[in-house]
Amino acid sequence: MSKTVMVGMILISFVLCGCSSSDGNSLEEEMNKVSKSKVKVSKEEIDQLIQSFSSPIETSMIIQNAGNKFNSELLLPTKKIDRFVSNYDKAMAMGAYGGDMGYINIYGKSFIAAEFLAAIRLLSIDLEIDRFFDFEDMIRMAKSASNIDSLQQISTESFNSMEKYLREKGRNELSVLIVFGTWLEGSYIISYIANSNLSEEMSNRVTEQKESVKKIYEILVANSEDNYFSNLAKQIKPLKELYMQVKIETIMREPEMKEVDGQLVFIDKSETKIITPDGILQKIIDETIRLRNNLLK
Amino acid sequence: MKTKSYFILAFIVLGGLVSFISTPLGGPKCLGDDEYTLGLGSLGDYSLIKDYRINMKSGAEPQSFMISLKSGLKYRFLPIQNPENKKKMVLSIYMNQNKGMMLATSFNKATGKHYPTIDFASRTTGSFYIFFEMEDGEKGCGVGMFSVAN
Repeated sequence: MSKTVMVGMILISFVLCGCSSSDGNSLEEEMNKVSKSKVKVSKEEIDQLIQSFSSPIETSMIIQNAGNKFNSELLLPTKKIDRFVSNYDKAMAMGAYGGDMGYINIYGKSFIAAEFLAAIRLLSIDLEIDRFFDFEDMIRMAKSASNIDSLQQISTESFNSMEKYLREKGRNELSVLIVFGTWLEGSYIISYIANSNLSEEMSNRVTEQKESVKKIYEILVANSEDNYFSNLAKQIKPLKELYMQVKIETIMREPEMKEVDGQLVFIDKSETKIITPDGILQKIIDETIRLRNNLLK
Repeated sequence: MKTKSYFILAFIVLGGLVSFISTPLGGPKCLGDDEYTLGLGSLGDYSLIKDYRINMKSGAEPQSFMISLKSGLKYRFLPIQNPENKKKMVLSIYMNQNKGMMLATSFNKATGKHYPTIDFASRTTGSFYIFFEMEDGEKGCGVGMFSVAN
């Protein structure tokens, strides 16, 4: 009798354990199919890097808040997607298209979102990360202007889940390149606009990229044993050196706190001073545009 | 008949055990999906940037994550509580990982009041840290949300 109970319990255990971990096993198997990379980026470094970059939504909001109109010519062409050959190229392109999606969503231009979703779909299939995107639903949302908020939310959630998965599964190099692609596309749009409208606001938006450039350069150099990363580090170095000449001083002050309609509101009282030598800003703009077109267009 | 009863009993015991293991605190279920859905509904005119699933044991150190803020943008942070928490989860923003200057918090120590949302109007572009901790070091869980005004 006790043997029967024991066997029963073991069987139940197997069934329960099988149910709870079946997804994990299949994901593991899929990740094992992907060849191991030589790149060694610590999880902590990646977490710091990824979390320290602005989202495409924020980048697009500052562009919109500065009074700039939407310009579809700034977006990365979606034709000839096969120009992105290696998985690294594809990861960077996917990040860039994700950045463009942020720009499209903030301006509510859902009618052009579908072609960008199609490009992201192709790249994500090749990278075996398409499961994080419900493309059918997203394309359906893109076809209706009234669903733009939902499309923005689902895009953010999909990219967040994908990045988290890549980091947890040790595919940090793809994660870095996706973030790099998103940042580069956002910086390009800011630089392109600043090139024709060098207001104080847009000048500051260009120069405040200094910290991001420094961080991305450091992580590329740290992984330069991989030729792809080494080449990227070489390509971004001139931009990093231009930014070295920009001085940014922030005077931090205690924020003002007040309760408004039962909600706590904090108003930042800090001040930032940016000093850019003559001519450097234009060189940064030119170099950012060159870098993006060279790597992605 | 008796064997069948043993099977049922074993199933209940094992099921309970698995359920206990799947909730690390041995208390509330902390998947965060319900809190996440609740948080999305409270965002209003704000767009989600990131969410943090928090699950803390009794006496655990605060959990921190680096975030980036941009000058000129208004941010909203939400600490969404698990309904079974005995104490509230507190969300705070600090200048650096060693805490340093506090920029915002969901808990007003002076009044002992907790707030469901905090808004932060940023005049600085840079990296900061979002901290989560349970009041009085209690165990508990919840979801933190980081969003930006449309």
